[in-house]
Amino acid sequence: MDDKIPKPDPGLETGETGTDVSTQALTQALRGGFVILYIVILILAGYFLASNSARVKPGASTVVLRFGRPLQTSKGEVLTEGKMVWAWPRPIDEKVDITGGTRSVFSTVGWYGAATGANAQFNPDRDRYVLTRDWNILHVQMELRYEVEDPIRYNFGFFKDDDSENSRGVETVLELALNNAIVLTASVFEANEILDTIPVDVVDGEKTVSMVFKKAVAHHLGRLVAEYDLGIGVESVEFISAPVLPRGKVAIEDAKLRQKRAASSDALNEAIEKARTLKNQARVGADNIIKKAESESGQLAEKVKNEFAEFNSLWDNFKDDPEGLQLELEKRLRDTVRGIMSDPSVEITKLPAGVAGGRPKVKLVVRRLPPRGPEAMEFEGDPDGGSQKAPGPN
Amino acid sequence: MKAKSTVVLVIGSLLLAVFLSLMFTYQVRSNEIVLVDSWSGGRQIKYGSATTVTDGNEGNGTSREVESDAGIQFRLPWPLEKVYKLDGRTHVLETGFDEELGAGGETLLVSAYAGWHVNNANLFRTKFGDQRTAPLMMRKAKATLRDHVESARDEVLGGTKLFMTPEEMEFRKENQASLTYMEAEKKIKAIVETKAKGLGLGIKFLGIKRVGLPETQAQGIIEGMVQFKGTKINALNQETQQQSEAIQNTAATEALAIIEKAESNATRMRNEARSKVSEIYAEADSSAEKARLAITLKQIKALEVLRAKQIQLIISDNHPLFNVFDEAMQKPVPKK
Repeated sequence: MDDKIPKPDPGLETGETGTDVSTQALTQALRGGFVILYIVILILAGYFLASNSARVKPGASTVVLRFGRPLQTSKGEVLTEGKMVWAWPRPIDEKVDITGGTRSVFSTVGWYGAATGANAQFNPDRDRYVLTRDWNILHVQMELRYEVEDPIRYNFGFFKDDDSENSRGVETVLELALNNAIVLTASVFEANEILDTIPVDVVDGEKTVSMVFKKAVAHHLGRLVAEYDLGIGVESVEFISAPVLPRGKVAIEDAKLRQKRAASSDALNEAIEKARTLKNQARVGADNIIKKAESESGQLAEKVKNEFAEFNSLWDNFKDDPEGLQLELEKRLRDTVRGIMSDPSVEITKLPAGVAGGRPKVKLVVRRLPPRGPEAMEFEGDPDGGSQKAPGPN
Repeated sequence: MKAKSTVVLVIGSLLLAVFLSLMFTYQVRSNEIVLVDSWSGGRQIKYGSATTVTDGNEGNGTSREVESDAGIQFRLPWPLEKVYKLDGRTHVLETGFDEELGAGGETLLVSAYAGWHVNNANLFRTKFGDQRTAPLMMRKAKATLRDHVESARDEVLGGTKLFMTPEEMEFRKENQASLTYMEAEKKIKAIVETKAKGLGLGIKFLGIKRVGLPETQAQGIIEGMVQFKGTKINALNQETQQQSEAIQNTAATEALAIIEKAESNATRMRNEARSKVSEIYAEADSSAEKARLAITLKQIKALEVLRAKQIQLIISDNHPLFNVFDEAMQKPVPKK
C-alpha cells in the first residue's frame, strides 16, 4: 500500500502539488485509523474474553459450569465471597450463584394459627396439630438447622421454579420431611411423654433405643435425609416453642391439674417432713432412754466396783492369811469406833441393862424419820438387808 | 494489507467455529436429560447427573445406574440428529388434605407428598409427547402422578385400621415396626411406583405430611381430654390424702417401734448390769471367809455413817453394838 502512495516531485512546486498533499494526509489518517481500530478490536476482544470473570460478591457462593458441567463439585471447592472467578465467556462457561452454608427450615403442620381475642380456643379448621399415640391433640413446632454438604446436589438436583409452589427446591423437601418426622414420631409417643420429656423405646435398626420426643424426631429425620439424598447434613432439630396442649378448655384444665400436682407435692412433702420430725423425736427419746440406761448401768457398776475395791484389796492381801484378815478387820472396826467416839458431834450414852438382862426402861421421844428412798441396788446376801433400822426403844 | 487479512481471517475463523459448534455440538447440563434422535431412527439419551434409570417402553424394563454425561457432546447437524431436552431434577408433589375412611369406619384427614423424577426418558416422551415443551410435559406428569398418589392413599388407608383400642395401642407400643403410618407409606409408595413406572417416572420418596381429624371428631377428642384432666384432678386429691395419711401412720408406727426398741435395749442393759453385779456378789459370797469379810466391811461402812453427824447414841450394855464399842476400846491395836 505504501508503494502506491505518490511521492511529491521536487520539480513541481505548484499546480498538482495540492492534490498530492491531501492524498498523503488522507493516507496517513487512514493508517492511524486502522491502528486505532486494531487497538479497539483487541480491547474489545480482551473485554469479551474476561467479561465472565469477576470477584464473588459478599455473602455469595459461586460455581462455574463449563458446557453445563460443574467445575466445582464439593463443598470445599465452591468459590466463596472474595474469591476471583476465572471463566470463559458464555456459552463456554456459566457462573451460577448457589445456596450453601448453614440454613434452617421450620415445620408447618403442628402449630396453632393466629387467633383474635384474648381467650383463644382450639379451632380444628384454623389450628394445625399432631395426634399422639393415645389420641390426644398437641401443638408442636420445630426448627431444622442443616448444612449444605453437597452443593451440586442441593442446588441442581431439585426442581426450583419461582413460578411454582416448589420454588424453594430442597427446602420444600426438608420442610416436608420435618413435618413427616413430627407427625410419625408423635404417633409413637403419648401426650404426657412429649410434654414431660419422658423417653420411649424407639426401634433403631436392629436395636431398641430409649429416646425423648425431640431426639426421636431428629433420629427419624436423619433417616429421611439419608434416604432422600438431599445433599445436606442435619445439625440440629429443636423446638421453636415447647409443645403445648390445645388452647382453651384443655389448657385451663391442664393448668389446674398442674397446680393440683404442685399442691399435692407440697402436701406430701409436708407429710414427709412431719413424719421425719416425728421419727427424729422418737430417735432422740430413744437415745435418751439408752443413755439413761447406760448411765444407770455405769453408775451401778462403778458403785459396786467402789464397794468391792476395799473388799478385793483386803482379800487379795489376806486370802491366805485368815488370822491376819481377822486382825485387820478388827483394827479397822476399832479405828472406826474410836473415830466415832472421838467425834465431838457424836454423843454416846450407855445404859445398864434392865432386870435380868432385859432392856432398860427409858422413855424417849423420837421423831418420825422420813421414808427411805429405794436404793439402786440392794446388797444381796447382806444379813442386815442393806438397811439398818434405828434401834427401837427397849 | 497483510494485517487486514489477518484480522479478517481470525474473525472469520471464530465465526466459523461458533457456527460449527452450534451445528455439531450440544450441552448437557447437570439438571437435564437430553434425547438425541438420529435420522436412522436410533436414539441416544444423555443424563446430566448420575441417577437410576429404567429401560423398556412399557415400564417393564430393568433399573440401572447411569453416570453423569454433563458437559459438551457431539452430534450430527440438524436434520440428521435432533436434540430434545427434558428436566432431570427431582420434583415434589403434594396431595390435598383429604378425608380418608379407615377400615374400622373411622375418618382421618391425611395429606401425602412424593418426590419423583423422569427415569425412563424414552417412555416419558412417548407418554407425554402430546405436550409441546418439556415444562408442559412435567406439569402434566405431575398432575397424573398426583392422581395416582391420591388413589393409592385412599386404597391403602381404606384398608388400615386407623383408630385403636388401648390394648391395640399397647401392642403397637411394643412393636414399633407395626407403626401404622410407616406401613401405610410403604404400601402407598409400592402402588404408586408401579403406576409411575408405566409413565417413565420414578418415585424417589413418599411420605405422609399431615394427619388430622374432621372437626366433630377433633372437638370430641378435646372434650375427652378435658374430662380426662378432671378425672385426674379428683384422683390426685384422693391419692394425695391417702399417701399423706399413710406416711404419717407409717412414721408413727416407726417412732413407736424406735421407742420400744430403745426401752427394750435399756432394759437389757440394766439387766446385764444387774447380772454382772449379782455375779460379783455371788463371788463375794462364795466362801465363809469372803462372806465374813464382806459383812464386816459393811458393818464398818454402816458405822462410818455415824461420823461427822450430830447424833446421840443411847446403847444399853446388853446391846450388841455396846459390845462393839466396848471391845474396840478394850482390845489392843494389832501389829501386822
